[in-house]
Formats: sequence, C-alpha cells, structure tokens
Amino acid sequence: MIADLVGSRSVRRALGAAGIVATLAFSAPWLSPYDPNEHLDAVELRIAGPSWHHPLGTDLFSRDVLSRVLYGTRVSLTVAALSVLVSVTLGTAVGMAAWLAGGAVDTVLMRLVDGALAIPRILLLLVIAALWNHINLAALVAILGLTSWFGTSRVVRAEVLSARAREYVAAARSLGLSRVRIATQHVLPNIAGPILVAASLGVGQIILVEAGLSFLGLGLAPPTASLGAMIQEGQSFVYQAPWVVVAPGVVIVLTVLVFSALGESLREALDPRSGGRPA
Amino acid sequence: MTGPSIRSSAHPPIRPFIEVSGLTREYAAERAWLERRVTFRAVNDVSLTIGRGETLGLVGESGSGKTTLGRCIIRLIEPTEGTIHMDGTDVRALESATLRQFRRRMQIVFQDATGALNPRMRVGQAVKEPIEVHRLARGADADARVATLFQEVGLDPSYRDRYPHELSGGQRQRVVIARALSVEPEFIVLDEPVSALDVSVQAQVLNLLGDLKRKRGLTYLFIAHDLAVVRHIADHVAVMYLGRIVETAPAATLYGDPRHPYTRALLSAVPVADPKPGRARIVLAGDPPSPLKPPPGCPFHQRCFHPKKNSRCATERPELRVLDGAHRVACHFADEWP
Amino acid sequence: MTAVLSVRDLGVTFDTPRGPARAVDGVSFDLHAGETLALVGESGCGKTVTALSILRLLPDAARVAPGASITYAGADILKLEAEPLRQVRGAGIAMVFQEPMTSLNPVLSVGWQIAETVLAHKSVGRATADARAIEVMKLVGIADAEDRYRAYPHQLSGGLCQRVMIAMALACEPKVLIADEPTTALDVTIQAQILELLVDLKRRLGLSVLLISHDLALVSGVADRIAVMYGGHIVEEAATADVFAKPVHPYTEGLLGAVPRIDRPELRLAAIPGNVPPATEWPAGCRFHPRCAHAWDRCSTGEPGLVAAGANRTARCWLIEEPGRRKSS
Repeated sequence: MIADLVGSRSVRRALGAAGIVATLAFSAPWLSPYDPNEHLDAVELRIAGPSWHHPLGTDLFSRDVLSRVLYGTRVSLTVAALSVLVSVTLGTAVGMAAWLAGGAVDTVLMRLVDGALAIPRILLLLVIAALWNHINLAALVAILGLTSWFGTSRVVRAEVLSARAREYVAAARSLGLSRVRIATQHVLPNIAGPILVAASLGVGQIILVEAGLSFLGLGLAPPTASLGAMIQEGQSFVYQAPWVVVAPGVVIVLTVLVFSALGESLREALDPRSGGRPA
Repeated sequence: MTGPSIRSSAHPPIRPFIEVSGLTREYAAERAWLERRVTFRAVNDVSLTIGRGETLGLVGESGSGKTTLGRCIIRLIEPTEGTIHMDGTDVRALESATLRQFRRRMQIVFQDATGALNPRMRVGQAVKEPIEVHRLARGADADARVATLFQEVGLDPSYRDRYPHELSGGQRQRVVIARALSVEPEFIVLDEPVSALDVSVQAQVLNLLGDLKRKRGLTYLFIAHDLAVVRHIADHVAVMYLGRIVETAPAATLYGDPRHPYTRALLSAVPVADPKPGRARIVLAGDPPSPLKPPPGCPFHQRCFHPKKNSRCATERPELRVLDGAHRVACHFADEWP
Repeated sequence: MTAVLSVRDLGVTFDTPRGPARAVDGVSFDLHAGETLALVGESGCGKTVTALSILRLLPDAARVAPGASITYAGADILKLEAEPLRQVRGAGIAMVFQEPMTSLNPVLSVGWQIAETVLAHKSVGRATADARAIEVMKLVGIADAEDRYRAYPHQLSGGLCQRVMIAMALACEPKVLIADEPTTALDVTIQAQILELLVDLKRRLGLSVLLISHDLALVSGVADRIAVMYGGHIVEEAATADVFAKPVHPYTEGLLGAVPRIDRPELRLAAIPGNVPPATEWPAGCRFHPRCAHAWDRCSTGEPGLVAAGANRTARCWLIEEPGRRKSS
C-alpha cells in the first residue's frame, strides 16, 4: 500500500507541499525575525505597512506580523494534528469496537454517534468553549478531538462492514482466527487507506474550525499567536492595515488547500478503480 | 493443539463421518419499518451424511440454498435448527473457543479466490498465519511447511512473497487450497471451487483436488451448479431445490437413473461437448419460485413435466423417501416414470 | 454461400502501463447468411474485443490496426460516419450482452426501452413502436407481454431480462445478431431455455448469429462453424462436427480434453499446463507453444500463419506442415 502511495505522483506532490508548510511552521523559532509577542515600538511601529525590516508589516501592538504568522501556523498545525490524532484514534477504536462487540452494543454506539452528529458541531464547540474559562493548548486539542471523531467512527464502521462482507474475513474465521486477530491483521490494514484520507482531510477542517473559534474569541488565550486570533485582532482596522488580516487569511487558505489536496490524492491513489500503480 | 475432548468420537463405528440432521437456516426477509417480521428458510430441514474419505456433490441452481448449507455445516453461518456431527463431535454444541480449535478439522475453499484472500497480505503469510495461530509450527519450521504446501498444490514456493493481485486466477485458487490444507483438515467444503476459472485451468484444479483427496484421505462436500464437474469428482450426489434436498444417490445411480423430474431436467440441460444430435432435451418452463413464497405442496410442481403429475402434487409435499438403498427421492411418482 | 459480414485483418491494441496489449491480432472470418458461427476461447483470448470492434463499441483507449476492414452491406463499418453507423447498429447488426440485469436501464420499463429502439431506427409513431415492442416480446416467448411491457428490470428474473435484451436486439429486424456469452450469467435450466430460443429465432427469422462463448460444450449444440481463439489469434476454424471429430490445433485438442463431460466421467481431465499469458507478453513464435505438448524449436521462433488444414478448415500450427511431429497421446 505504501508503495502504491509513494508511487503516485499527485500524492508525492501533495506530501511535498504539506512538508513545506509543516517545516516552515515548526522552524518558526529560527525563521522568525522577532519575538512574536514583543511590542517593538508602540509609536513608530503601530500598524506599520510592509517594509524591508517587517516584510508583512506590524500590528496594532507593533508586533511583527511575519513572526506572528509563522508562530500562529505552528500553533494551528499542532492543534490540528493532535486533534486529528485524537479523533481518528477514538473514531477507529469506537468503530472497530462496535463491530467487534456486535449486536446491541453496536446498535447503541452507532445511535449515540448519530445523535452526536445531529448536534451542530459549532454550537457544541461554542458551549464547551464558553464553559471553559482559560483554554490552553491541551484543552483545545481535547475539545476539538473529542468533538470530531463521530464522523470518523461512522466511516470506519462502514468500511469495516464492507470489509466484513468480503470473503477473506469469512476465510479467516473458518481458519479459527480470533476476532481480535481478524480485526487487527485482516480488517484494519484494508481500511487504513480510508482512515488516512479522513485524517488528512480532517487536518484542513480542524484548522478552519480552530480559526473560527479563535475569531470568536473562544480559542487560545491571548497573546498566543494563532491564525484565527490574528484575524480577529486585525478586523477592526482592516481598512487601515489590511496586511494584518490578509497574511494569516492567505496562510489558512493555503494550508487547508494543501491538506485537502493531500486527502484527495490519497483517495485517488487508494481507489482500486484508478487502475493501481501509475507508471 | 486439539484437546482430547474434541478428538474423541462417541460412536466411531456406527455414525458416518459427517452427519447432518434437520438442518434449517432462517433469514428475515427485507421489510418496511414497523412491518411484521417475515422469515424464509434458505435451508429447510436438510439431512445428509458423508462417509470418511468420500465426496458428496451438492448440486443446485442459484437460490437453492447450497452455499448456505455448506457454510452452516462448518458453522460459518449459524444454523437455526438441526444437528451437525463430525466424527462423533456435536459441532453445534461447541463454544466459541473450542469451535476455533475445531476449525482445524473442517475447512472451506471459496469460489472467488480473489475475494477470499486478504489483498494486503502476501500469499505466503496467508498460508503461514493459520499454522502459527494453531501452533502447528513456528518460525523456520512454519516457513518450511509453507514451502511444502506450495509445492503440494503446484505453486513455486518463490511465489510466497507475492500479493494476491500479482497471481493469476488459477494460482490464487491454489493458494486458497494451500491455506485450507495448512491446518491439516479432515473435511473440506469446496464451494464452487472451479466455477470462476477458465476451462483449461479448471481441469488443472479439479485434478489437483482429486489428487489431494486420495493422498490425504480427505472428505469433501463439493458444491457446484455444474453437473458435469460434479460427475468427475463426487461419489454421492445430492440435488437441492428451494432449500431442500429433492434427490440423493450414489453418483452412478443419480446420473444413470435419475428419478426426480428436476434432476432429469438439470441433467438434460447440461451441454455435452458432442455435436451429434439425438439427445432429447427437457427444457423447463418458467423460473424457480422465490424462496420467500414457496408454493404449497411439492416445491417443483409448477414447473414439473412428470406425466403422472396431479392435484396431489399441489397440496401434499412429498417427503424424501428411500427408493432403493442409498437412493432417496422427494417425489410422489418417483417410481412411475414411463 | 454469401458472407453477410466479413472481417479482415482485424487488430486491436490497448495501451497499458506495461506496454501495448495486442488483444486481437490478424483476425479474419466470414459470417454467412443464416449460419451460426461461434467464437470460442478462454478469458483474454480476444473474443469479446472482436465482437465489440464489429459495432465499433471499443473503449477510446483501443487502437484498431490501419489495414483492418469489417464489411457489412457493401460498406466498411470501420470507416462509417456517425449516422450510417447508428443505422447499422440495431437495424443491421444487433448485440446481446452477458449481463442482462446491468445492460438494461433500471429506471425505465422494459417495454418502453424496446419501443425506444424502434423509434430510434424507424419513422413510426409511439403507438406503432409500442405495438412492435409487444410483438417482439411475444416473439421471444414472454408470456403476458402486454403486462410485462410495464415491468421494470428488477421485477423480472435473469432469464426474462435476457429475453427482453433479445427482444430489444430483434426489434428492428437486424440481419446479424452478435450474442456475447448470452447464457453465462444464467442458471443451467434457464440457460437451456435461452439457447433453445436463439436456435428457434435464427431459424424463423433467417438470422446470422455470431455467438461468443467460453464453453465448447454449449456451442456444440448450436453452432454450424466454430472459430477457436487463443492469444488474440483465430487458431482454428472449421465446421462444428469437424472440430469435435478431429481437432487440428493442439489448443483445441486441449480444450476438448479439459472440459468435464457428464457422459464420460474419467478420473482425470486432460488439463492444459500453465496459464494464458497477459496480452502484453505474448511469447515469440507460436503464442501457444509454451503450453503445447507437441512444440519443437520451430514453434518458439517462427509464428505460423492461418493455413488450410483440410477441406473447409483452417488452422494456425506448424503441425500442418510437419504432421510427423504430432505426438500420439
């Protein structure tokens, strides 16, 4: 499977783009010309436009926008990656558990998931975030991760169901393999692809959700730089200093696009109908 | 390892190796929300026996219940009613852990070898896994066993590192057979094992199955829709129609002197590779009835062409009765053919 | 006898990641008026691609050899413009496929679909087309044709759907019927019904039938002549009785030996060793030689041509020139 994926040119390209975004974000401490939270000069550098020293300008508190964007991307990516890890692990576990337990447990779990899916996610997030006083990174990851696994668990269970209908699972049962072994050795490797696709699409989604929460003031507590929080801070003087909003906005769009492209290319490369390994 | 409780046989000399009695499998039919639950019987009160080292050919058209019956016997599908004994062991009474161990003794080969192999597992590993799970061998010993099994089914052992999609259809079916043999079973359900294969490869696999049976003293339940294929491999044949066995006999008797009108029609419908005219064909009218609404009386009476057919056939279902020794037929007029 | 359909030097190549696949190569045959010619072979031999080329139904990826011609009614089908081609399809040459269930549109009633075919080819009104649909449904032995006109494919059994497909093919009175594995997806007893129907229709309507099948036994009771295909070539062509009495090509011989026969339950079948190679990797020389019991060095170097092998029969094998090389089995 991995050979199939690496063999696909579009996957390689999307992986490369995602790698560049991640490298830039996680090299923030070395790439940033300034401390992202330092008030450089409250008089001279208050919403100063792009210049040689500040390529993306400065914000209301005379902080360097480029540095804040780099750090903000790092925060957003970290939050997204960890949340997706939580949600995919939880979703896969619940989906597999529902199948393994079968019967009533399966029905109850899946009805609960349906119920959770029926609640608008943004409302759920608003309520939780509003009840929380001071949100740190771990809390944010927990909130986002714990509210986004329902969909994944549905996907996993649907994949498990279709894998279970395949005869190799019947064959494994007929050979006297245990359910756990069948689940881990035979079913899981065959549904890893769709899970991977869901995960990379999930990264893009969570970046958006996180930006939305921060924009509403329900994200990480200031002065931590996050892409959404930067847009929120910059919106009131968007006409005087558009660069404060545009820079994080462009980064959000690009990052989401890169991870969507990665998800799409993975989906294509894993689709048996696409004819396997391109030359 | 197999415990002594499984291996011991309660009545070894009296009971046949495989003994199935009154086996029934019900399914819930599709229904709309809140509608009354409707069930139908894919397999309906089937009894059969297979002697050790024998092959029973199970013949029927799609929807006859032959595949469900085969899978019920090895408990891949749980029967609704009935008993299954293998070598004196009550297979239906086995609890899940003991059943898993007992599966070593009964195996299945599927029609679709492609679907029966995990696409993400190398075929050598697919054959090795059950050997290790059942602790028959491990490490290098297990690898050696895999190599021997590959040779036994006519595959080059160097193929073990390939994935299923890198093999041809015939080679994949050989892998599935090797995997079934890896746990040293005594009984194998062969569910249309050659139907998906091309003629030239089909002959290879049929010959292989015959050789393996003789060499290892295997007992087969050979499920097929193709009577010519069954003729080549089966000692006894049972014909299924709408979930029931309608005729069963030693192969020579069933092919030489069929007594159920359905068997006669099936046999005459089989194309023979011989252009000489002279064979009178019986072409049945209509389609088999739906198992959801089996007709009253004899399940075959609507399509029946027996000259003695009368109103009794539409009301009273004929039981499977002994005609002569091992020849049993479910037809009121089985001995009244002109 | 006059040929209704003449195929000459047909070659079809597909471009695949593993290189060009020569699915059909140098295939020539004539279909005579009122006869049934069977194209027989295993999967990958090129029989379906040959059938699809005749109606130009090949996928875009296929390339037809420049020298090929398919002559029907004095015109080369391969060179026809869109409109005359549309007239040949259906009204001249009609086709029946293997999977009746998937070849019918699930959301339209079967009678309506037949009537559509009539409307596509004849300048008649809806009522006439409907009447014609019911007429051909009766022709193919569908009871209660008026009621079944309104049925949807999923309400009909596989056998009935195949009858509907045949009715649709015959609705515009074609001269040639191409049947691609018409009974393979059906049960044995239904298969017998459909075969009986095809034989009966051919006689009553004077059709010429090109029957594509993998099953020599099935073909034996229906076909007048048989062309056996292997590796994209026709390797043997002869009258049905001659093929069964004395096959010339070792592959035909092998196929006959490999078919399990209900009337001859010998213990072992004469299997052909090995597998059909993929169309990208045909061996040099005779394409069958790696699996052939009689092969000698000439077979692995020179490719034999299709030559006369007796009266009214041809085969593609060096044994015709050197019969002494044939090993007695």
